[in-house]
Amino acid sequence: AFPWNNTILSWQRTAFHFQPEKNWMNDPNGPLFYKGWYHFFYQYNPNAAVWGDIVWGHAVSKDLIHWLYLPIAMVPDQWYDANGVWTGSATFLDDGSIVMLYTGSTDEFVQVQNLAYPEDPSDPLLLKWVKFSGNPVLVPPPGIGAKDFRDPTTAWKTSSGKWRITIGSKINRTGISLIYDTTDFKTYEKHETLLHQVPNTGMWECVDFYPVSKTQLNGLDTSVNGPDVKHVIKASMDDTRIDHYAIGTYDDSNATWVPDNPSIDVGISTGLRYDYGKYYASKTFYDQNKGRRILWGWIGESDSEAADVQKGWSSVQGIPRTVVLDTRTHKNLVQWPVEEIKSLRLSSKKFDMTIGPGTVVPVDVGSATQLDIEAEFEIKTDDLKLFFDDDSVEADNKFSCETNGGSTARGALGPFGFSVLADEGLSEQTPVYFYVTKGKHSKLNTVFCTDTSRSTLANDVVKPIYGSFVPVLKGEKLTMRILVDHSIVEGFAQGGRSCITSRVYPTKAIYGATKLFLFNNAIDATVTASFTVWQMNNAFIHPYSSDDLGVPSST
Amino acid sequence: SIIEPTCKETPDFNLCVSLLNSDPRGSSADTSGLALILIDKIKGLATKTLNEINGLYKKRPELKRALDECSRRYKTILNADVPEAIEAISKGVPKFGEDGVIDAGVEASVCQGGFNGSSPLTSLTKSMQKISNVTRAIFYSNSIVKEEACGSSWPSLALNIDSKACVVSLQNIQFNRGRTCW
Repeated sequence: AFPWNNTILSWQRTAFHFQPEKNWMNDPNGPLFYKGWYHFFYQYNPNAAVWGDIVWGHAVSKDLIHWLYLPIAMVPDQWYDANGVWTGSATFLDDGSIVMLYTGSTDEFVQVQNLAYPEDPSDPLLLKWVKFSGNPVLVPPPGIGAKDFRDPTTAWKTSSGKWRITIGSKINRTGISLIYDTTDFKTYEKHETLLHQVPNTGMWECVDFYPVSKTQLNGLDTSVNGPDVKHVIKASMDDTRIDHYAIGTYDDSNATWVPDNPSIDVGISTGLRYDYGKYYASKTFYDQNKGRRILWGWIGESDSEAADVQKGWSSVQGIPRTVVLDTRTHKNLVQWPVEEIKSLRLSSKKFDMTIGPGTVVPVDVGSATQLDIEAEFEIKTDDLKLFFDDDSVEADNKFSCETNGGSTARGALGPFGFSVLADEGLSEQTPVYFYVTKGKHSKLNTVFCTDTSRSTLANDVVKPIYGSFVPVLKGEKLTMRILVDHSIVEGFAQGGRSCITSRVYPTKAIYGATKLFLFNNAIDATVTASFTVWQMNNAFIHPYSSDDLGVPSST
Repeated sequence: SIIEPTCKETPDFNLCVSLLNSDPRGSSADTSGLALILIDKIKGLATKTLNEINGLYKKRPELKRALDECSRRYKTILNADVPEAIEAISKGVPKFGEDGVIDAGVEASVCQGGFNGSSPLTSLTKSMQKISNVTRAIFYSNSIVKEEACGSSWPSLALNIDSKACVVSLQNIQFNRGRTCW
């Protein structure tokens, strides 16, 4: 047991991640950019630090980093959302106006889709929302369970000029995405066919569907289609709480989507994930302000609910990420923290270090609770050559971060990386690292991991080892970026091909006692690390006042 | 009754069956109903344990520190885990219910750990861990939200359904609101 005290618990609150002032948050909802403001809505319990009594929280930002909390946007005040104003998405109509589709849990616990829109389109803050008098606009269709019909997507245009949305559900154990067409968002035509389905994946929540360019690095509006475009389906797996995506081809005429590689279809356990750590119920939006697609994801807690109640809050949102297709591999997405995060970078220190096998060295950066780290690693060429010329070393395609013993299990060429949120004596530490093994045909096989198993002395915390394979192409160095912000650590490998978000709750490695270490636990390899560490400023996240907005703070 | 087949999917068949059979609602409950019964048992056990803790303050004043922690942990079960789980199951988002149920076991274990091996609450802790595990397993039986699907059994005027499109209008929905199936 660990006696959490308020000093330890207050340290856990993040400094530059979005989180409400207090209480519970979950899914991101209806993100959009309007009249100079980024709007962010979120599933919010105004009454407690655990899930329940869900309303739509609301905040605005000029840069996705500094936020102003606005009044609650929507509450359960109608029979069709009496048991909760649940997740939804925004769509811009051709005239620039906004419609919001969201799921309501009715007075009889049926999941229905409802339409809402801003009361005053001239208000850049979109403070007041009106629910359509004809709600609900969609109810569970025949064959679909009353509690298996939620989280409508942003709508996109069909070639015939209609709007189209998809909604996740399940039939028995098959995860499905239903398809509807509409012209006015009030009445809908359901397609007999599904956008997609995958057996044995269970209920699909928070389905997301969007185009990515095969050639360009900019994001695409949700309605864009054409020969240079691939389409991504993301679904949040209710059974496993993992956000899985797959890349494929969308056929506008029959409203179906086919994966490029059926063996890694949406929700297949060996398939692609946005994040191999704690990351769920994510949603993208097209940012017309900067021509990019941005991903929001809910990062829950890994501690006990007693601790959540004591600290008075639960959950943060990950730093918003830009999402593009990996134009080098064409097989995965690349996610990267939005460029605006760099505005929080304060002093930086550059390091070039060569570390031999079995070495841990402190990295002198002063306080290490709020950091942005960008690093390149190289394994000494001779060591690599010896390893690959040694026929006694067998190909190891089964290596996994989760099952191979974490950062203390030593191999020929790994693990090596950083221990963040560590105390001086390393009794607490969270290693973020690479591990390189021999793959097929003597190619390097690289995995990227975060090991939280020694992140805290407390025992009422879930402490997994997370990780995944990450593609490393010929001529590429191993690169990683790590954002550390108190109880959240976000790791990005190879420019964002693989991401791992984790929540950690140190008891000693807090405040001024928090250190950063570089380590190389490989048996045979010397590693060169070139990296820059930035101290990160606090983001300004607080309730709005008229001064902040340059407009009257209404009522 | 679905008690026996459901309990076969849990780690403690006998405990599961005896808990569910002790509640008159058990014989006719669906899986969600069974989970709600077990959450009631968690609530009952937490209340009982909290009473025991309150009594121990007088009998074992030297344990005050550990008892304070236990008291806080069991209050979390009663005030956070249980209501969260009940609301989540009622509303058809069982994963949040699972959070509460799992956490009840965690809180009990943390309380137990505070006594450094000489806990006066060992048997109550074990009971809570067992009920938590059994209840959690029911969430994994994959049928907790297997609601009756709304389909052919609907009266044809309830929704204007044709084979290609499902056009819904307000009047029809209002008309249908009182029905059990959605």
